[in-house]
Amino acid sequence: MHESLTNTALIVEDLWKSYDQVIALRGVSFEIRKGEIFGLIGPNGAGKTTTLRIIAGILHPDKGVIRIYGKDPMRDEVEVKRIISYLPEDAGVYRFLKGIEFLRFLAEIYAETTEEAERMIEYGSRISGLGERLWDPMKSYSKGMKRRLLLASTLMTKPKLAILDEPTSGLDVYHSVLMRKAIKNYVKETGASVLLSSHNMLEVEYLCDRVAFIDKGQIIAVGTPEELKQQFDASNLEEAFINAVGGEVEEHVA
Amino acid sequence: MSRKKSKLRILIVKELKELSKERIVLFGLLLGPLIMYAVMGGLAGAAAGKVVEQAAKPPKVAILFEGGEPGNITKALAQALNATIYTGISVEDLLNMGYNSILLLNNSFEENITKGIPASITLIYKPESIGFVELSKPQGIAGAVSSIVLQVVADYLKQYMPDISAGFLSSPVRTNIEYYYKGELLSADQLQGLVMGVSLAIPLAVLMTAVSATQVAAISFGLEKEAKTLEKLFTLPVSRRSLLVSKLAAVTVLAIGGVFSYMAGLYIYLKMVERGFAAAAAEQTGEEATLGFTITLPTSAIIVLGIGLALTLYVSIVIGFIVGSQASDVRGSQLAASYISFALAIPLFMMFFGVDLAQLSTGVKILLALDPYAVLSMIATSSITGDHQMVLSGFGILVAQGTFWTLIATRLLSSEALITGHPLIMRLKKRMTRSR
Repeated sequence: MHESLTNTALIVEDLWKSYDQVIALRGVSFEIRKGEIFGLIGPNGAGKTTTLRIIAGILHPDKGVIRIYGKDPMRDEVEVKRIISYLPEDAGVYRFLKGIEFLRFLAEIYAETTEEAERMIEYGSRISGLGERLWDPMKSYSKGMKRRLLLASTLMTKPKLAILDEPTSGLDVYHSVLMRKAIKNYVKETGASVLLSSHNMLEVEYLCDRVAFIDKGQIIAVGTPEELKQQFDASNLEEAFINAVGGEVEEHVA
Repeated sequence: MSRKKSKLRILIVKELKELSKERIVLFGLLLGPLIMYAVMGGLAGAAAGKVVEQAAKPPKVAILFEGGEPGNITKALAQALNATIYTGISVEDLLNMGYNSILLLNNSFEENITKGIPASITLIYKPESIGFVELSKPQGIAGAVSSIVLQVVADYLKQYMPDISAGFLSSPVRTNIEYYYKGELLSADQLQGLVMGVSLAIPLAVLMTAVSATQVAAISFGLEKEAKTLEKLFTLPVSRRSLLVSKLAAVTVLAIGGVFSYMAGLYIYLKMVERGFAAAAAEQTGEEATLGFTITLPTSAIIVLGIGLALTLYVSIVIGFIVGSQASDVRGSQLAASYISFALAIPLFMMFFGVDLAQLSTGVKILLALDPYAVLSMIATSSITGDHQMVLSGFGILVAQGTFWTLIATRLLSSEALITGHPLIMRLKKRMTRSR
């Protein structure tokens, strides 16, 4: 257990959550290792966003345990938030702030010194790839530019655990590739861990070291993309997921 | 290694940058009042000349006598009013001849007056425009008719009862009104200044300050929700309390800015109106003139009002946060804040119409104690009447309200209802969607 903890970035154990009368999570459990990109895959309403929001400290679970680098996000809220960073699926930007002002705002919140804040801003500006456009108000940005800036703002604080909800959602192929490269490079450069959710199986195969299938609030399988393909006798992850949920996918489709 | 800024300061600056550029805040709160009052002042000032001109223009009066020959009283009336007497002609014809005031008289009028029986007459007035001065002119003619008739009767009686003075007959009682208030004798003018201060200036100040603050507070959350930035904000390594305090501080700064804008605008407006009237009056009479309108309050009342306003401002902002946090966008938050502000302002409207809140029954007063605007109004009135106990009670009530609403706001901010929506509101929305 001790050895496991030293290698583990995140532990999620028996997570339950319900909204009013709907049960969203039914005992979700998984672990993420340090330096690993972990994908959470499932259909709409499977519980992906709820899981990510709970880990990010936005929602409280009804039951269950979460440990981020050994810390309890419910008890050590601010401390945990300092080492994680969250990119919500439909996150927006402040319309009247300039891109650079937004990066500065976040950097100043996270950094301990002015120099550290400046380093974060420099790093964020580089990841965003927005160049001179960073000095324009964010309301003038395209969807792709906003998403790149948001990803940059998420990674520039050098989180030990980056939580990315559908990072390339709604982006064109070109911008999606840029985003994926940025995520991959970040993990390579920093050795940090990433937890992401996605509908794009190609993206998941390209990015993730390990993947968890989630359906109806339950984790139904965990493994590397190769392991999952073998386990469910499939040629790609999409097929593996369909086989994993069995005939119920047809019901989803129907 | 440089010391970094405090997180609270960083959050406040971000709030101010984002909010102050929002069109609703910029024009509705910061610039709007200044522009609105300046435009209104310009128009009112320009209209002042027309009003003075209309007031100075005497009405053109004709007397239409029906049923025989006009008697001495009618003739005396015509002479005094500089009017011509007509018989056997229609009202329309007289109006077409350029008269705008037509007095309809007949034999019974003369008979009644000579017998000492009250007589009734009809005055037809054709206004040039629908304005206060123009519409009040017939009152002046009616007053002139009464005084002329009284003079005619006085002359008649003087002839037969010479011992009675004409002055006594035309005006048997002269009433000079003075008001006894808080141990002092005040003239009608002085009391009017006081009444204006209480019944107009205070509710206006409360409305301007508190309603604006409620709106901006609600919008600050609406903006975050509409831009979908709230989720990101909640994952920052700062406490929810810091987020609430930063929003409170930013909105308070903007609300104070809004109050200055209103006050400056109102000052400009009054000055422009005053100058307009003075210039027009000077043109008519060749003499300097002023508006003669002042609102004066004792210094102690201003201090008490200031403390009360600050407390009310705080309560309004927190209420605005709560309302805004339940809306899903800027429009929704604005609309919800408007409804709440309107409901809370009902006691102030009562004050506008002269209802003294302090005189209401205990049950109604307890109900009003839940309304911060009403409490402030009662504090303001009590500060002028010298009811210190009531002032202190008011402060206590506002502090209690502030504490209560802050607890609710803190609870809401730390709950997930801000992200997922309140279960009750979500159920209502679902029901409404189904019923459609």
